[in-house]
Amino acid sequence: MKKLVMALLFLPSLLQAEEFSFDLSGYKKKSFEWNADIFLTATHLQLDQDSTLYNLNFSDNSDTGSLSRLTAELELGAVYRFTEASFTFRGKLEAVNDELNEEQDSVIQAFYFSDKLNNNASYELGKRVLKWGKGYAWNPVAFAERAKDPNDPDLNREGYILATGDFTKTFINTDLKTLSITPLILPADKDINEDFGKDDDINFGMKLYMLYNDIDIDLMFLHGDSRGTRLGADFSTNITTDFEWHGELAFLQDQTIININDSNQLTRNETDYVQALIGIRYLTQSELTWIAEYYYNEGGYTDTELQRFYTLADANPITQATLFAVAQNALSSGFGRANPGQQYAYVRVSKKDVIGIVYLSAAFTSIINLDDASASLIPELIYTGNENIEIRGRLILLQGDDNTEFGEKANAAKLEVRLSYAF
Amino acid sequence: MKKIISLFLFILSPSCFAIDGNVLLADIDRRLSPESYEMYRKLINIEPDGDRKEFVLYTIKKGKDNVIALFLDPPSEKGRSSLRQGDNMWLYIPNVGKPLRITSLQSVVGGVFNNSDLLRLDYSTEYNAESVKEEGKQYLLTLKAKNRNVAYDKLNMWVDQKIKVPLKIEAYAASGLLIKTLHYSKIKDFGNGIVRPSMLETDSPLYKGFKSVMLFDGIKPRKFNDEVFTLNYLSKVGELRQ
Repeated sequence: MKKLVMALLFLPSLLQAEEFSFDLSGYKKKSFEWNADIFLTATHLQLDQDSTLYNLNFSDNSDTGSLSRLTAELELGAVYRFTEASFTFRGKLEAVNDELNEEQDSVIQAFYFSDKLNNNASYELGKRVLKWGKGYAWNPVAFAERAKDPNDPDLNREGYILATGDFTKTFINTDLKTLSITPLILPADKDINEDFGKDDDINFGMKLYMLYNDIDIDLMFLHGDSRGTRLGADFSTNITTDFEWHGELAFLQDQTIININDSNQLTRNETDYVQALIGIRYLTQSELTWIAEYYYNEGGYTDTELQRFYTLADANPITQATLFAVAQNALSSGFGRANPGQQYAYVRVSKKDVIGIVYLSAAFTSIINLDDASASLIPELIYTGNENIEIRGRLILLQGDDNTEFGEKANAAKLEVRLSYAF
Repeated sequence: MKKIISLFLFILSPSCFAIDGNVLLADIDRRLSPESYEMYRKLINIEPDGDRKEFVLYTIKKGKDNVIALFLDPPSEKGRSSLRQGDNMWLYIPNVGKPLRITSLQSVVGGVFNNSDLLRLDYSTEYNAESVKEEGKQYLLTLKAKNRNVAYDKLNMWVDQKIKVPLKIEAYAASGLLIKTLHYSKIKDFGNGIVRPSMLETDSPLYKGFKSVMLFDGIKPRKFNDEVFTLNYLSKVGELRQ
């Protein structure tokens, strides 16, 4: 009788068979796996010939009003497993072509060995990317990472050669649910991690993660001669299921800041300063996702210091060659980094499935320099309806008066279409 | 005499005995899956014009409220993983490299299934049974969310009386709005005493013309360390596959 009941229950599945199928065999763990992404990007830059950064960057091509750029990138990832250990690799090939330049580049972003010591502990040796912090656009506590681009924070980045590990312990029926310790050793000299430090330094650090009362909390430090001592903390938690808030606080000791004095000379000062970030992520009833962040960098340049730089950067490369050279040095010594000021706001609002198209997302992003009221405005559309293909189009408009951060950028607008294919 | 026989038969009939909805719900949970398990799922989003988008997920669960779902396919999503610990949910994206907190009603795949569908806990963990009725060869269970953090405020669940697995579920918002309807079908013997539907079809009045289908396979009991269900482990979940 039981068999008869089972046969009757199975009958509908036999009748409907093969409309959908699922073969598990392709998804079991293999000793070698690889994946790749191809990115093709077409960019049109409308240059601002009156801006000071145009003056610094295009002094040899002062008639160039616009640039059309094609970029092709291949990112290749692979993992080779044996017993509990594995090698992981990720590398990138890039070719860029525009009216002024043609470049090819290749970089190994990550290549490391990892092994499991026991159920609670593992370690990793080699080049890899650490991602510390909870902020979306900025991470003051990312002590051992290359800076991310706030305009495209999800891009893969190159890691550093380091040794790290994880020890994790969970607890039941306590406020503290999880405790993880991540120690770190990061060497730097003229051959290894040379952009982290060049003086044959060994930097060491640690991150302590806790899930305490549904709050993610990290405490971290990095100490060494390369970049001084850095202490940090971050948190992230949900106030409601659709409202998350997060924050970061970093204290940086003995940091070198390069500035411009009243005599238009570069100066170096050693100082301590703090960086802080507070932000939210909110999903509304209408399924709009808001991300908003406020970033404070005490070590950034004040509005007055930036204006002094922009005035200097307006120097004529021929008749004021000395001043022009100082401005170029200043550009490569701190004034040219992304968001060099002290106070910023980041706002991004995005919506999936816009205008009834399931795989079409729209977003609007703005980064605002709160000290000089200049801003970037980035409307964006992303379509992911074709399997493994993403098409992203976005317009970057820079708004600001003279002598403001976004008003003095070399380009006034940028139109970018990127096609990515994963396989 | 006829009345006495009828009364006697009525006393013997199952409907005479009050069914404890919460006991039934816990029984349904265990028949759908062991408390700690691994399984593979294929998720198919079907658009009104028939176009399909498919995802494959490896899922593990431990205890009442620890679940992880790892994307194995398509290549554009491979390596993404989501962790749920009770009301807390995080998404790990390899490029981003660090887990971000996400909300239950968002969808990381687009279409009708949201994060709480992909990281579903036992029904008895999130819902109390308010009533049980018999409808032909099925039970109709009315379930109420235990708290406001649960994705759907109320469920109507039609359950096969013989093998005690859901056949159809209507999910409602607190406002009374029907959010989606789930249809379980293709009952299959997965071994280890697990006999349950292998297919779940979902439609929603909010996504007219769209349909999402979930196929289940490889469900089996498995023990995991608690440390697997932590943020630092999310990048390594794929190593648990056998």
